[in-house]
Formats: sequence, structure tokens, C-alpha cells
Amino acid sequence: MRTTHSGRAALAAALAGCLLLVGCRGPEDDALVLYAGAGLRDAVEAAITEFEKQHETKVVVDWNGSGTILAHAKARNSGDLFMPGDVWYVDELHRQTGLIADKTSVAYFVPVILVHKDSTKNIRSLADFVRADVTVGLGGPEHCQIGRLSTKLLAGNGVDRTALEAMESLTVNDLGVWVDTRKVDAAIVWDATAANYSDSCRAIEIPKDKNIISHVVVGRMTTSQHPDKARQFVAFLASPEGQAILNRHGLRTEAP
Amino acid sequence: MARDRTEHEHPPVAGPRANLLSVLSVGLLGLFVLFILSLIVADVAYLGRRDYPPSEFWRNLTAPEVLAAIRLSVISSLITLGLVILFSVPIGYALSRFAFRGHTLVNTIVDVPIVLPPIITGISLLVLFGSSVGRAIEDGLYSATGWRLASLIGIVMCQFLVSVSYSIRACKASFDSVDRQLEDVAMTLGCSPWGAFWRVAVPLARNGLVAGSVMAWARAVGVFGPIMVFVGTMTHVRVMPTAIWLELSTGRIEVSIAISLVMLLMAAGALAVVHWLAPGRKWT
Repeated sequence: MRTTHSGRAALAAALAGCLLLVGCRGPEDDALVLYAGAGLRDAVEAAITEFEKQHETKVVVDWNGSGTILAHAKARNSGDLFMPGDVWYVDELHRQTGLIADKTSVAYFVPVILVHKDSTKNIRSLADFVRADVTVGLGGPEHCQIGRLSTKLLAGNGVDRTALEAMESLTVNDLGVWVDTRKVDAAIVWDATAANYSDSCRAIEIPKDKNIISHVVVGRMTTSQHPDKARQFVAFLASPEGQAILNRHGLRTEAP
Repeated sequence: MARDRTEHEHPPVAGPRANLLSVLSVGLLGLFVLFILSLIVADVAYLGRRDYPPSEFWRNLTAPEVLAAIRLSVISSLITLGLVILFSVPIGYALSRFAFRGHTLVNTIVDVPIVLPPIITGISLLVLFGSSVGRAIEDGLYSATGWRLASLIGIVMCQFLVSVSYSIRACKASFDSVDRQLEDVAMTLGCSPWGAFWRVAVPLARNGLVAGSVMAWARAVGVFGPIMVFVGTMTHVRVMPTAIWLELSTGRIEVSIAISLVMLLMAAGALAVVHWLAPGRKWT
């Protein structure tokens, strides 16, 4: 009878579904939970792979925009490590919740100018940003660290940001996409972000004396269930081996 | 023997006659179709522009983390589909058949998730389960089952809340189109109300119910904002939309596009089912 066949089919599907659900439950209790900025993924995942091998500790990462991982850490009131791609958020999380036990700088973020390799606009420095034929992308001054720094950086190079009519983004990663897809001619991004677009774009250095350097910071959280393992992970990132891995994947680990 | 045409049958229409209405409406249709196709062509052309060989495309598409995201999207959306059907068929029936105080208000509230930006669903869930009551519920769930909300459960919650209202709307419209006198007649012949619902109303409304559910499934597969905000992007909860965003965050636009094309194929399949179930077509 049709109904019985439908019932059996539904039961079989449900059983098959249960088998497929294995592994969807969640991270094991002894895993370290790391909230991290999505733009750091390549470098941090490589470091985690090596750390997991050496320490037999699983690290589960919640990748997201810096603002969203702050919201996650606040709302869930749990987690071991906090590593936004934007140092401002570590201090902000601590200011709002007191959840940061300590913080360690593990890499430098150096602003560079990103342009497309096929661009004919001949952009060489920040002074070119004021040209009428150049469309510029900048991080939103209230949304991301690169945005906050860009205002000061441009002022230090004699350019008034407000006069630029630049397109503003929420994150530094959006700026990379915009330059790659030719939506804008130039943008100020981190050197690590520029490394993600090395196939299609090139980074123009800003003179050291006129540049402002930022840091990639990892915060150890007071809510950590595994404080010693969390300390080990931070120490690994700061160790010569960890630094070499981060460096191989586009993060600058030596002072510029 | 050829059948005689009766006065109720008409010869087939050869095509739209060229008048203002037909030219305008077909013209707009053509423009819209062209626009949608150009988006797809642009995605494929981007891959070609970057000297992206098919082998690289296939390698990215079959990477373990991408396959895991596709698998989780399929599993979670099918569970969501089951829940959507479970809720929306009776709710659609209630809205269609039963008169009660506050019917208009309830009818409006049911539509709220359709007009609400999905990210608000994510924020609301985050705030709810970040409260002391919410955390108690989550802790209780964890003690009883070992499951946390940042898991398949959270994904299904987000997908369900965003997509169920579409299905409720479709189910109500389907039941509205079924003459309720047929159910009344069934009950005069000894059917219970449940029997009239299950054996008369549902079979007659079936095409619309299934089409509405499939549309809700397609909506559920694409849910992004609430999952980002409430569930996160850890490996065990990564679905196709969040995987696309993650690849975009590290500049791997071509991998994002590859996953997007998979989603496009899935959506196209779902829509083909919806159109196959168009009114007038017999359900066999």
C-alpha cells in the first residue's frame, strides 16, 4: 500500500540522516576555542595544523568579522582565545566585558597601497589618491582598524580623507575584493591582505617614516576552560617556529 | 478517427501577437532573463580570465572542507524542510479554514519573518541564548544530549525561522484554492475532520504544498546572515553560504564562485521541480 511504502521510505531516510549526522554535534570539550578574524585564516590555520600535531590539542576556530566574533565572545561568555584581525577589538572586548586575561602581539600589520596589475592609472603614492581620475577604497573609519589608521595616514601624507569621496568598506578584506574586481583603482590595505591578491594585484609600499604600523594581537580569555593549553598556543605563535609559519603565509613577523 | 472540436476547445495559440502589451511584457521578461544570465556568465568569465583551468576548479570543489560544507548544507536544509512541512501545512490549513478572533493579526505576524532582515533573526537568537534563561536552556540541552546550539541545531533553527513563513503563505494559498465544500461533503459521508483534511484537502492542495515547501527549501539553503551571527563558522558548522564568505575573506574569489555555481545548480533543480508541479499538471 502506498502509505506503508511512504512510511518505510521516510524511516529509511531518517536512519540514513542519523548516520550522516555523526560529527555535526560540536567540538569536543577539551578543544581550544579560538575566535579569529577571517582574513587571518591562511596563516593561522597553518599554525594550528602544526600546533595540533605537536601538542595533541584540538583547536576549533570560529572565523568571522572582528565585530561578529566580539559579539560571539560577549554573548556566549565562553572561549579560550580571541584574535581579531583588528587589535582595537581586543581592547574593546576587554572594555565591555573584562574577558581578556592578557594579550600578546604576534605579527605586524603594515599598511600598503593595493592596485590592480592591469591598472593604467600609474598610481605610485598616496598623493595620487587626490587625482580626479582615481577611485579610492578605504576602510570605514569606525568599522575597522585599517579605516581608523587610513585617516591618520592620509593626513600625515598631506591628503584630506574627507575630500577624497572614497568608497568605504566594513572590512579590509572587502577592499581587496574591490581592487581585484576593478571596482576601485586603489585602496589602503594591510600587507597581509595584499598577499591574498598577489596573483592579480600589487602592493605599493608607503615610506616607512610616513607609515603607521599596527599589530596582530591574540588575547587569552578569562573564560578559558584550558588556560595552560591556551598559553601554550599563544607561546607557539610567538615562538620562532610559529613566527616562521605565520611569515610563510603572508604575515609580517619582523619589525618593519 | 479524428476528434471533432467542440465549441469549448480552441486551436493552440501560435505565439503572442505583436501589440503594445505583448511587446512590453515579453521585452521586460527578456531583459530580466538577460540580466540574470549575465550575472552567471560574469562568474564563469571571471574564472576564465584568471587562467583558472577546469582541473583547478574541480580540485577546489572537491577539497574536503568544501565537500563537508556541501554535505552539511544538504543535511541541514533537508531537516529544515521536514520541519517546515510539519509546521506550515497545518498552520496554512488553520489560517485558510478556521475563523477566530485576531485572525488578521495572526496572519500578519506569520508574515513578519518574510519582511524582517534575516540578520535580525541571528541577532535576536544570539541575544536570546546569551541571556540567563537562554544559557540555562542551552546548558540543559548539552547535559541531556551533548549537543550545543553552535551546531547543526543552530543552523536548522536559523534556516527554519527564515524560510517557514514562505511555506506557510504557499500552503494557505493552496488550501484557499481547494473548495472546502468537498471536505464538508466528505464529513457528511462519515469522515472525521482529520480524515477530511488528510484525504481530501491535502491531496487536492498537494501541488501547491510541495511547490511552497521546495521554495522554502531553496530559501533555507541560502541562509547566511543569521548563521554567521548566531552559529559561527567553525569547521563542523560550515555550510555553503558561510564557506563562500570565508573564501572571499582570503581573496579566493574563484573558490567562492565554484561553490556558488554548485548552489546555483541545486537551486535550479529545485525550481525545475516547482515548475514541473505547476497547476494543471497531474501529480502521478
